[in-house]
Amino acid sequence: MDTLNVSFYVLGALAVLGALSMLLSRQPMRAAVSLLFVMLVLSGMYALLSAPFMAVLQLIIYAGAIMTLIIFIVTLVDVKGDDLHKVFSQITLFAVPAVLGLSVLIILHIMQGIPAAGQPPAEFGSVKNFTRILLSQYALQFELASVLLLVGIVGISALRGKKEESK
Amino acid sequence: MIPLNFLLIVSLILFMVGTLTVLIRRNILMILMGLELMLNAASLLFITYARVLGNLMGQFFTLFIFVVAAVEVGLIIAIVLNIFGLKKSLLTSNFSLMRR
Repeated sequence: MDTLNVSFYVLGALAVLGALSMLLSRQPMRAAVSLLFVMLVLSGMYALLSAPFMAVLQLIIYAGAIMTLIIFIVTLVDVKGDDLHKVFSQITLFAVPAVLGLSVLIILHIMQGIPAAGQPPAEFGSVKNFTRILLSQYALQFELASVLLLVGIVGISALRGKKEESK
Repeated sequence: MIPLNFLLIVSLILFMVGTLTVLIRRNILMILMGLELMLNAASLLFITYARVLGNLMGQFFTLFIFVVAAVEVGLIIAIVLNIFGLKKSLLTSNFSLMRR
């Protein structure tokens, strides 16, 4: 068993523990910090899977921007009364067996055999390779993503912006 | 060699924990975090298979998942703030009425 395998096992176990802690913690702030931990661990796994650029993007976009927004909103709204006590919904009794059964089915399918990993091409996933293909072969999709971001900005300002006084 | 089976199972567990969070938690912010966890599990699967098949396509998919997740979180937070202004609560069971 080489060190790469051991790192994968440690990181995978940490990710699962963080996710479970997110599911079970009663306070949204603790759950948000657990989710942040899962994202940091996943960034390490991306780096080990020869995707260094995606690892950095995971740190900047997910851990840096998205989780900051979520933690900001958790601190912004102050909840009282029922919100603190009613944590789990009534369908828990049905949802847990359903999700467990589905997981067992998928694990049985995984165990039936899947292609083994080969050696990736040299420079696989390096920033140079990644951006060269992204900005030539997938230029249209890249531009469409920026349009999507623009639509998001317009939508958020339409939802939250101050209405102009009508005269 | 990377432990492919192990990575698939980690991704499966993360996705299923995210699904459970969406299904059983009652706080709308917790549901949002469950959605994020599901997106992350899918990203892990894409990057694992990009490495296994030696094809960069999976990494591009992950990049676009990041973009969609950023837009989605911004919009959901705007909607949650609007609803919180009306109801003073984050429980989904209080969001069932469409009128004020």
